[in-house]
Amino acid sequence: MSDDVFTGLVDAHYASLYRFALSLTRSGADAADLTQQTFFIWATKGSSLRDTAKARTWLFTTLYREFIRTRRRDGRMSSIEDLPPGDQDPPDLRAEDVARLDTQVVLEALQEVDTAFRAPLSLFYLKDLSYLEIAEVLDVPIGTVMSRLSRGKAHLRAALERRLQGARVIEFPRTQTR
Amino acid sequence: MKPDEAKLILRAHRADGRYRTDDPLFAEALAETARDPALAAWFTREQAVDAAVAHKIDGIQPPAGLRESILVGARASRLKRRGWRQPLWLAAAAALMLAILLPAVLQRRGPAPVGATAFGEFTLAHLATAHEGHASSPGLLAMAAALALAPQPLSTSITIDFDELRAVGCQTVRVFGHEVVEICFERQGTWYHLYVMRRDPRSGDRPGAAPMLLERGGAAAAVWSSADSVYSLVTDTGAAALRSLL
Repeated sequence: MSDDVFTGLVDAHYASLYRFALSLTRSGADAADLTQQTFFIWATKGSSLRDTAKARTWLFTTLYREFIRTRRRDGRMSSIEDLPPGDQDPPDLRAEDVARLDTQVVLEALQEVDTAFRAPLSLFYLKDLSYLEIAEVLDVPIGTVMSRLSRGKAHLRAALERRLQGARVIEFPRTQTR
Repeated sequence: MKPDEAKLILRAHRADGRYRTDDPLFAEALAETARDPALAAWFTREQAVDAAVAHKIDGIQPPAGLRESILVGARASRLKRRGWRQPLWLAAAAALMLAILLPAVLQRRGPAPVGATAFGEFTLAHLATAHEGHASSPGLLAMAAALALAPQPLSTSITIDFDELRAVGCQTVRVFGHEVVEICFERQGTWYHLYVMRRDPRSGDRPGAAPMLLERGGAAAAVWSSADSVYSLVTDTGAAALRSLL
């Protein structure tokens, strides 16, 4: 693969991959490492991929696998069965309320969602992949993607709602002055 | 289809063109929204919230320098596949660079002095990971031709200094805040890379006319200095190629 093609690939995907990594790792430094590691693996192995149209899915898959591998090594994996169920009726948020929140606050809420739900949820919001590709990246059936998205959204909305409750301004009683 | 079933499917739906509405999985659920106004209202709110969250996530910017770091790292991996670079020494070189760089950054008292070994390590790492190819301006070609014909030992016959090289448009790189110029020349079929840096009187290093040789994998650097400049002559064809010139 030529330098130009590789540079094009980096330019097209590194920001989204970093955002995905940041949602997974909860740390900017770890996310940067994971993103760099993903392209390093591409440079050593992935560039032999004949179908470059598959590069996007390949990169996200590799990043996710590297994240899982690191988590296993650190003994930080939790079983999906251990996770709390999502609320069937998550808080009914308004888009305007979400828009008022800082990006960092929304990111923190997303990072609060457990990894099993956070990974498909982040990929869903990143808008780089279709739900079929998300299933491929996470190596789970399509039905599982749907169910995890649904539960993940419920967790996210609950986390956002908590932040909105905290952010609501309580007005001090006004005293009249003459 | 029950509303809860439709909601489960529609939560995975994105109206961004990637999810085709004629996908049978979504088509039925979407059709349900046409029949059920409450479901349609819920779906509209759902998509608005999703769009707001997606917009926020889209606003996260990768750290400055990540792109460049990825590109340099990939170049290094390609050189590694060519078989002459050892990852251990590159890691050691990176650690060494950090050890030198950090005090300068933390103290903010201008660039830290760079010793001969650190300069040699940097030039080896630069050639392995970030070298951009050979420049070809007339001034550079003349300078490269002079270097190709310079009598041996080069450590005494090279008298060109930093300012002369910069004046002819040599590639400039920065090493821990110091400006370094680099020129490539070919001599008897072997490519050499000469890096020149102004000598920092604070470094404590005495000018060393005798070259110090560093070998990393199949690459080698010879570092020496004059009263004004520090030189590193680097090649990826091995120490023997350097020794023959020094």
